[in-house]
Formats: sequence, C-alpha cells, structure tokens
Amino acid sequence: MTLRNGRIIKYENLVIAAGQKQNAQSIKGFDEAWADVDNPFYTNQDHSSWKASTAKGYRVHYNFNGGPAFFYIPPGNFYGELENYNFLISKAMWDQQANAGKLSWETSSFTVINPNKTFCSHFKKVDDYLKNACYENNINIETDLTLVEVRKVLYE
Amino acid sequence: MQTDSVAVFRNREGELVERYYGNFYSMLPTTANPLIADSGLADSTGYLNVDPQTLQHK
Repeated sequence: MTLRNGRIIKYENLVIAAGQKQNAQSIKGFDEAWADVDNPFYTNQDHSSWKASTAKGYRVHYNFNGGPAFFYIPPGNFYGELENYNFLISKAMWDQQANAGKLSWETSSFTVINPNKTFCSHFKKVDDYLKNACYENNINIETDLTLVEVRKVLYE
Repeated sequence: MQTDSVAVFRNREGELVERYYGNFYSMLPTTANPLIADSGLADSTGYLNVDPQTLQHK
C-alpha cells in the first residue's frame, strides 16, 4: 500500500473503513429545507450552518402537534441503517402526546417511506420485526416512493 | 401569506407525487465514497462486495 507521501506499507490483511459520502445535494431543496430552522424537515445530523444551540431535530420532534408525519429512508446503501431507525420511538412519544391531548391521530398520520425492499438487507429477522412493529403501532409503510424535491408552497 | 411544506416523490411508474407534511425526518442520502468507488475494488454500486458473515472482500 502506497500512501500519498510515498511511504510504502506491507500488509497481510487490510480493513478499509472509508464510510459513505453525504449526498444531500442530490435532492432538490433538501439542503435548504434542512437548514431552515422553521421548516419541520430534519435529519439524523445537525446542519453545518446551525449554531450549537439550534437543536432543530429535538425541537421539531417534540413540538409535533399533528398532521402528516413522515420518516424517509433513501434508496440503496446509506449511513445509519438500523442505528437511526427511530420511528418506533417517535410513535411511542407521539402516542404519549396524543394521550395528553397535544395531538390527535384522528387528524394525523405517521408513514415510513422506504423505497428499499427491506429495512435490513442482511438480517431477515430484523426486517420482519420492524414491519410487524409498524403494523402493531399503526405506522404506515410505503415502498414505491423516492424523494426528489423538498419545497415550500406559498398561498394567501 | 402562509406556507406549507411539501415533499415531492417519484413513484415506480415515474410519476411525481406530492405529500404535504407537518413533520418530516429523512435519513441523510449518501453515495459511495470515491476512495472505494474509484479504487478498482468496488462493484458497480461503488461499494465493496463483502461476505456479510465475515466482512471479507470477495
């Protein structure tokens, strides 16, 4: 293996942990919606433009007071598979808020949009568990949609 | 003037579908790291093809 500085390292086994590259720019309006602290659109990371005190994800999540809610999983391989599948936690927390009268499931919905065939491509038990848990917790699953744009609509 | 937030999706038929939202959590979209994708070791997806049991590169 030759490093950039020309140093040569011999090895018998090599593990490469390069990680994945963020690709928010591949979806029109994604980065703007994510950066906008007033848009209830958030991700599993803080936006680089925020101050440390912004805490948008925490604030948006806890202040959800009804309407259509979505959890989106991008197609293909992605950072945070399973680790960031926190939709069951969201539903449990929002159920508590519904019990307290903060939101109503009569006028709200929660949908996981997963364009992949499974929630976990190499572990069928986990995939089955998550699909069943969504069913038992009244979380919808849609599998044929891929996010292409996020935008705001102005009206009077 | 008021605003609504809209997510636009493409379905399998290629049609655009709009969904208004009150709360939208998205996993960050990612792509293969060019360090791997361009190394000659990756498959057509840009990722290493490994044995899921051992993580050894095929």
